Amino acid sequence: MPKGKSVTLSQRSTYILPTGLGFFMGLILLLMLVGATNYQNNLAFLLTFLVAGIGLVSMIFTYQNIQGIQFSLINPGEVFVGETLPLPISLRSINRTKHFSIGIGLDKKNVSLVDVPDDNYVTLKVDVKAVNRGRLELPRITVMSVFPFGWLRTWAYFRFDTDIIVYPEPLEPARLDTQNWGQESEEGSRVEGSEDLYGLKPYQDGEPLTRVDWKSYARERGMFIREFAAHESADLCLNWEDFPGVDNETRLSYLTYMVLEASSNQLNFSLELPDKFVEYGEGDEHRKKCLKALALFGEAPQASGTSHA
Amino acid sequence: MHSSISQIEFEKRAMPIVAILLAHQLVLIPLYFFIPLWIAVLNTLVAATVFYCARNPHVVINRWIKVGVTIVAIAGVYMAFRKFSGRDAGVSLIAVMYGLKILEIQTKRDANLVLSLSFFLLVAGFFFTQEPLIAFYQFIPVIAILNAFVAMQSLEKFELAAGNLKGVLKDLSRYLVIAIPIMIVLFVFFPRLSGPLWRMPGASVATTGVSDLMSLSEITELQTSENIAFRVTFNGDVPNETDMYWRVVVLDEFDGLSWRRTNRNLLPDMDETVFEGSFDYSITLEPTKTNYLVALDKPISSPQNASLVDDQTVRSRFRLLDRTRYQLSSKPSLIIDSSLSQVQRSKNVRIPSSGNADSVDWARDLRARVNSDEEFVNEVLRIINREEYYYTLTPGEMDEQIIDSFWLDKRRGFCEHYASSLVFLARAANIPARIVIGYQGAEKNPRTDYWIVRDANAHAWTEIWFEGRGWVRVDPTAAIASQRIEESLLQEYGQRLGLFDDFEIVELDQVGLLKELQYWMDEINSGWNDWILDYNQSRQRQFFQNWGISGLSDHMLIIIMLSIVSGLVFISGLKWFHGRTERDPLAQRFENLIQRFEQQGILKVEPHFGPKAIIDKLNKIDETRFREHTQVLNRYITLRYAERTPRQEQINELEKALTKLKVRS
Repeated sequence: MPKGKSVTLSQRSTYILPTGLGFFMGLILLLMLVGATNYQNNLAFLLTFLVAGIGLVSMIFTYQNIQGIQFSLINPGEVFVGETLPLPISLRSINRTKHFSIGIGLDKKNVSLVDVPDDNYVTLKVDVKAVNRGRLELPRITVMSVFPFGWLRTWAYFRFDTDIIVYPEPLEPARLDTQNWGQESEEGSRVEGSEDLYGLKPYQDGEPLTRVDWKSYARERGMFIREFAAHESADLCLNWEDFPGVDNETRLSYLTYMVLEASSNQLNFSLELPDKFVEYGEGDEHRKKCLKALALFGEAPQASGTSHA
Repeated sequence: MHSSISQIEFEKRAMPIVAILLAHQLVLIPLYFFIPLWIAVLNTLVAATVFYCARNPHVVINRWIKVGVTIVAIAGVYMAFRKFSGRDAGVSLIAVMYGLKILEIQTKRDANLVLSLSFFLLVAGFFFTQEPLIAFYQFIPVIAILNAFVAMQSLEKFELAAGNLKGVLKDLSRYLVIAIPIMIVLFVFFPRLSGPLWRMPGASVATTGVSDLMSLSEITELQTSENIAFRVTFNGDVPNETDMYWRVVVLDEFDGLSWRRTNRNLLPDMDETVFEGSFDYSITLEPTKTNYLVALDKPISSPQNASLVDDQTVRSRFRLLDRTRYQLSSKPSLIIDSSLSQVQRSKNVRIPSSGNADSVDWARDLRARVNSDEEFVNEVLRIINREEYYYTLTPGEMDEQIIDSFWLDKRRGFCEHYASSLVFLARAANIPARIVIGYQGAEKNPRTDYWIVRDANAHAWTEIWFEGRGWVRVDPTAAIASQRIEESLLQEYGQRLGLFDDFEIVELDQVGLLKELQYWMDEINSGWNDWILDYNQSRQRQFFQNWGISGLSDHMLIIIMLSIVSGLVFISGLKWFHGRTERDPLAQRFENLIQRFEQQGILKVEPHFGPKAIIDKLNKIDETRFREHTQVLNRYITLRYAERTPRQEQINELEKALTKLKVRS
């Protein structure tokens, strides 16, 4: 079975069998042959043999119809457990011929049909259900066609090698202790320093001295507190240990939810897992990094081993 | 522009109704010549209704109307024929059912059913006529049916599969180019049966006429016909009436069922000295639609446009479609083949290795008891005369073992039974023998000076070869004692009279250009008859014998047939793939170039990138650095996607340019 990001079918693993209609045509041909034999009618013989010949030839043409197409996986969007990923696949003719009514899907019964032109590519989507978090093992994809007459069905299977990662299903934690968030961030800001200054606001009693803008104080403009990008005005450390007594997968789901929340609120946050620590950061890249870490939690370290090699 | 569609939606999509209706009607048209006219009218109305409904989806035909029409139509067929069995009623019924079925196509499944059955309907047409014109016409419905099948599977909603007629023909001709050789191989090799699997009432009877094949029962038809076969005028001497044996065909090969004429060589013209004691006469032959000319035993000259054949018969260059007159000379005392070559001899003593074993034993037994070949033949004739052998035109059914059945058991038959038995027995006793088919006797037209020979004079006799005497005519039928000839036959004799009607007569030696053309056309027709319509078990054997292959069993035929067909499919499949995958060296060079870009880390090439996209990317990176690449790639685009196929030198040049392109700066 061909594998890869971009796949062309090999002739050896392509199958062909008559369809129900094909078997019915066979029956009709048999009747014609019996009639021709009985009446010793040579024109009936000729017609029978012509149709039989066309049937045989259609074998070649049905078969070649799914050959010479390059199937490529186009980078899909992100996907969470429980969601259906519409996997975009592009089809391009690599032998300068048109390919008609090519069906692609996860099984023969449930395919999407498309014509592949000889000078352009087409894209269609195959829905794949994301069941488990982690690296997505794409199911076997079926290519099939009954073109031109519907008498024969040819099909082949292939797999895409992908680096698609399914993120854990986001779940809102039952009890979200926002007080806790602030304290965690305090420590974080001390370690990290907060570069993204949003603005200053007047100091009020009880606010941590660490965030007083001493520069303005020195210039005798008054005592101000440095305010950061988010309205929480706090750096956030999302921690595995935040949810004691909750099983691992649920923890991951909670954390996923929080990563999504935090990043949609444009917070500066870090993520701490037993096997991985993601440094403070924000933005899309950072979000992806965190989600990946959550998705791949518990994965054997072989992944890094291979990337190293 | 190109969108995908799920299979479920595809199945529900409206059907290519025009394509289906077109195929459906084209299939029915040839049948309309042979079945009641009202069926044609009904079917056309039904098709029009279906078309209207397809164009106006809100119009739906009530189910009960459909049922009603069907019942009435079936009743109509019954009224017309008073039965449903038999060819005409059967085909009418099928045509009605098939015609109305089009009302019932709601799903693709129904449509596929109708289209598949169409092929069967095409076969039904051949039971009525096998004219070449109809046969070639049937290609049109075949193509229309295939087109409808393709339209059913096409995503684009074209009624013609590829959107236009030319495209359809081009596409489907790709199938036919391979399918037709397969058809021919299957046709030649597929084993034929010697008889039908079962008999249907009302099946057509073989047409009469003297043919290459003589089957022991066909001549009866001819012998009961009072039609005039030919007329003779003698110039000078007239032979004795009982010596008027008119030769037409010599049959010298027996396959156990029928006798056949083998291929013959032409004879050179005879020496002048031979003409001593010959009869000169002219014959006016009624149209026979064969090449055989009638000649008095034994012809020594041939008219123009005809030639003498080495079995001492005369063949015309073309089939006789008109009443034809020609001049001939014959010499009854001519000795033919005073010596026989080994090949000729073995050919003329050959009988099938199995079958009729009792007769073979009988003949060998008799030959052992007599001293010479002549004595053997005389003894057989004596037996026919003395023992209970009857002459009758209604001998009843014979067994598969025809000779055994007639000679040792039934003992009732007519000339062909006697002739073929004598030849068989002689051959079994290793005496060269053959059958001659023609006419015996003639009657003088009292008003004028010509003689009339009728179909009823059709006769079969034998020629036995004796050392030194050559082929000698022996007529076993003449040996039958007169009291054992059916009375009715005797009474009929002598009451016949015939006059010329107003037919035009063609002189065989003065054939005009127009006639030539007509004969030429007829030649095609005759070839059609010989090689297509009459290609049966014995012709199949003959065909292989001509290639030096004999005694092929049905098993062997099937094995050879399947090997050739699978070979054909395999080769055309292989050729196709090679033609496709190795044809495009340009594309290969392009792929290589892209790979080099990727390896150098210049571009990340998505698999669906075409050359245009690559150019864009390169220009974004550095326009001046990749100017040369852009130029070459642009040339690649023009060549690759050109309307016309590029010239070879253009390809070579570009191929070089693509290979040379430097990727590293």
